[in-house]
Amino acid sequence: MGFSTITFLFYFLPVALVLFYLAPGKARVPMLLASSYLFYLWGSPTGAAVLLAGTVFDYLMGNALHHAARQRDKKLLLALSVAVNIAVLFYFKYMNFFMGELNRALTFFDWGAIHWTAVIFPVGISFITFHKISYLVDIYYGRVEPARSFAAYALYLAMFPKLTQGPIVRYHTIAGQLTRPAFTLDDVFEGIIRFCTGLAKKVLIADPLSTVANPIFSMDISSLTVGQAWLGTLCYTLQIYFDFSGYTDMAIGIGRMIGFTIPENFNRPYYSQSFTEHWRRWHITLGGFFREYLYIPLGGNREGNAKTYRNLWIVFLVTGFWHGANWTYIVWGAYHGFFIFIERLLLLEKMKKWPSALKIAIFFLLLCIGFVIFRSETITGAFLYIGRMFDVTAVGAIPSPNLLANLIGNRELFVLAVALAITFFPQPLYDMLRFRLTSWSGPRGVVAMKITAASLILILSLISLINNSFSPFIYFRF
Amino acid sequence: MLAKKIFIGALCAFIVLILVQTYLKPFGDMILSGVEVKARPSISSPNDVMSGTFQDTVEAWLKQNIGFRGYSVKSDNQINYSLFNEFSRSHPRRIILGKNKQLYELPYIDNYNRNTVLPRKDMEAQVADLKKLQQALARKNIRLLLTITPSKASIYPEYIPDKFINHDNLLKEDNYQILLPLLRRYGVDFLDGREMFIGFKKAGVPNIFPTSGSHWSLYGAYLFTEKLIERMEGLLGRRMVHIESKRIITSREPIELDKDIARLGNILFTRSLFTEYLYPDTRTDAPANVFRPDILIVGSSFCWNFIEYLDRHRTFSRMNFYYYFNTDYLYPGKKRMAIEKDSFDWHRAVSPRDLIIIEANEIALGEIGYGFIRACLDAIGQ
Repeated sequence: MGFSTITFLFYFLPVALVLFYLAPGKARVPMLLASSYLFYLWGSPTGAAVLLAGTVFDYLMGNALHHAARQRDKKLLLALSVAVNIAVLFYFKYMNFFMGELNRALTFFDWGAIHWTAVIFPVGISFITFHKISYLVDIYYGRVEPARSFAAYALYLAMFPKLTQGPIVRYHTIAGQLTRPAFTLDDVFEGIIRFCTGLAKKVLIADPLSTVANPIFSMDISSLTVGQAWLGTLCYTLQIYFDFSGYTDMAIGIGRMIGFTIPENFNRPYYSQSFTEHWRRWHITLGGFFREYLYIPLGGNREGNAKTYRNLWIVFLVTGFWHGANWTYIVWGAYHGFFIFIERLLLLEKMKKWPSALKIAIFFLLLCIGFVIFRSETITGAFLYIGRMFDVTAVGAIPSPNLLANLIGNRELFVLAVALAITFFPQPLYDMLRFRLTSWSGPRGVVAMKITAASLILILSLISLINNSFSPFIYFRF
Repeated sequence: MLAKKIFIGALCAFIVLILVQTYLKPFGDMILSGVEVKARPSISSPNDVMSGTFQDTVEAWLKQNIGFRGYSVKSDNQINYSLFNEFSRSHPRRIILGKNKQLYELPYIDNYNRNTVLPRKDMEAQVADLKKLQQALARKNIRLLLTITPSKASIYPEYIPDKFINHDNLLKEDNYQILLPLLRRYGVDFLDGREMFIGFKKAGVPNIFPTSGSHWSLYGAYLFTEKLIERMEGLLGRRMVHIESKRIITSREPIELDKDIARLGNILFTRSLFTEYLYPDTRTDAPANVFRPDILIVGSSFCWNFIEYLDRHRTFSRMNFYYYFNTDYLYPGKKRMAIEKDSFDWHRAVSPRDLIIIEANEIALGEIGYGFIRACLDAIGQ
């Protein structure tokens, strides 16, 4: 169940919140747990079953880890529990891909393909697995005690605001809130404002941009013009940010409404001057997870340059593969790893003297190209698309049946301009405006402005959402 | 603090209001125009739930039935129209706002842009089938007439926004230009509505297409019907009922199809799209012994407007209209029945007729008769 669906907005969320607020203190955790499972059952029944089984396993393993007396036993238990979780993730997320590749190779050598029934992918399993690993590793290192109750741990994994798309909440950062979530009226108010902001980002910006990007990326490369290729890339790059950060805003907002601090996941990631900076601003919790649970255990940057670079490459290849079971994601991860590597090796020092605007522009251009790889179905498709973007000989030479006006309307053009303005609005100017507005209007004025803006974008989002469901025909040939 | 409480309370009240309106409908809502496939959530097997199909149809049902849907859809469309000078892009047949408030449906502009030109050999195969059917029917003393109805985009291209015109393609032949010489070469009887309407336009006849409609206007269809009757008389060799216009009424309130796309735009203030419309006040000219043929018409929604005149003035003894060859409307009375294509009884449907009219709009020249011609030829073993 997506956050921007009628089911969620008008049924699930209001009912879940009302039950949560009405429940007495001790009943809130079980109530939230029940609603989270209902949320997951609705969106992914298979996933809910896998989640429940995994929760029991981790809970038992966590306790065993904590109580194991010998370091060797602890290590063994950790290795076993992490391996089981990775195996489950591999089976549900990557087995179809792996078998597909294997069968392709077998067919190539005329050895006959292995019969394989596709596995249903449980939504959010990648995020859930990382939460599980975080719990087990945190217990192993003694950062936290195991969850006081099964319900508390189950809620940590299943909490619906962050269940399917994160952010990744490391166990030790939220353990305290899991037994008795506390909230104030301010939390509820700010949570609603944040939720409305996220909904607007998704519905008013990301969705219209997707109506431009999707048809362009599904066009035959022979009829794709250079301009269309750039337009599709730009729209997709902005779409993915506003979609994902919109979802995160909604998750953080809901979390706040029910007394949980869900960490920030984005900090104007396209307003970065390098890939290194970008990864401190983009999908922050994923970067943090990999740093803490992969990069540092691998040795981080403590064992010389060669090992640091090796570790970075590993992290980015895994990051790419974590995003999806396709070669395109691995190449996308490698693409980012390559630039991080180059920046560390050569550029970061030299780039210090370059003007900030130039660095942001160069970075954004390279980022856009990376997203073509990410968005494409195949590696070949990605390279053909990128080739078309830079094919100067094709400018004005490709007769495309798709006119620009058919691909992008006035509203989408406006949305594109707004998205670009939000993305690249200079930070110092933004800080100054915010400061002046706050000082000028005072605390009450700020509240009034928030209420007005939230109400407006909520109404606009809802009518847009409802209108998108209405696709009538004049005559339906019946 | 009070403001925050009021905001939270108002938000709760808003959600409750929407839910109450969804199920109890205490307030009126705006009616939306257009045909929609209704979502019907049902579970026929556990797999429907496991695969998410059931959940998807529930979401679709909730969207279709949410309270104040009419206001929501029309408000969003009004924003598109008023602020962005366009209609929603989510329509399956996008509506394009042209110059002087002329509205177009995108498929007609695509056709004008020659985006879907049929290969000549396919077009020739269709014409050859038409000729075969014409000959087979002639042996039974039944006449066949193909009528080509015009597209607004090809009659009034000057109102299409320039950004929607693919100038590179305009030098190519379109389906109509490919079809015409073939019809002549094969000797198929046809009535060319496109040529007729270009003639009307050149002669300064106004309002043959309404600004707010996709199809020809009632007035345009009336002019076409006059020519159609002339042509039917020529083919049948008999005097038929004539339709005469006593006077032309000017109105700012369009009737039926003259406002079909404007209505489909589903904006709050549809009347702002209306311009001036002409309506002939017609009378029947039917002397004694006039011939009222038994007619079968196969075609698209373009037929409604001329069928309106044929029916109102009782120009036929019996008439069936095979709408897209999947629904049968029997006149007089407009009794509706489904057509079972698999068990189509050619002899019963066709043999008693005096005349069969196959209507094909310019944008549907690749599917003339919507399968009717092939069904007939199969039935007679050709």
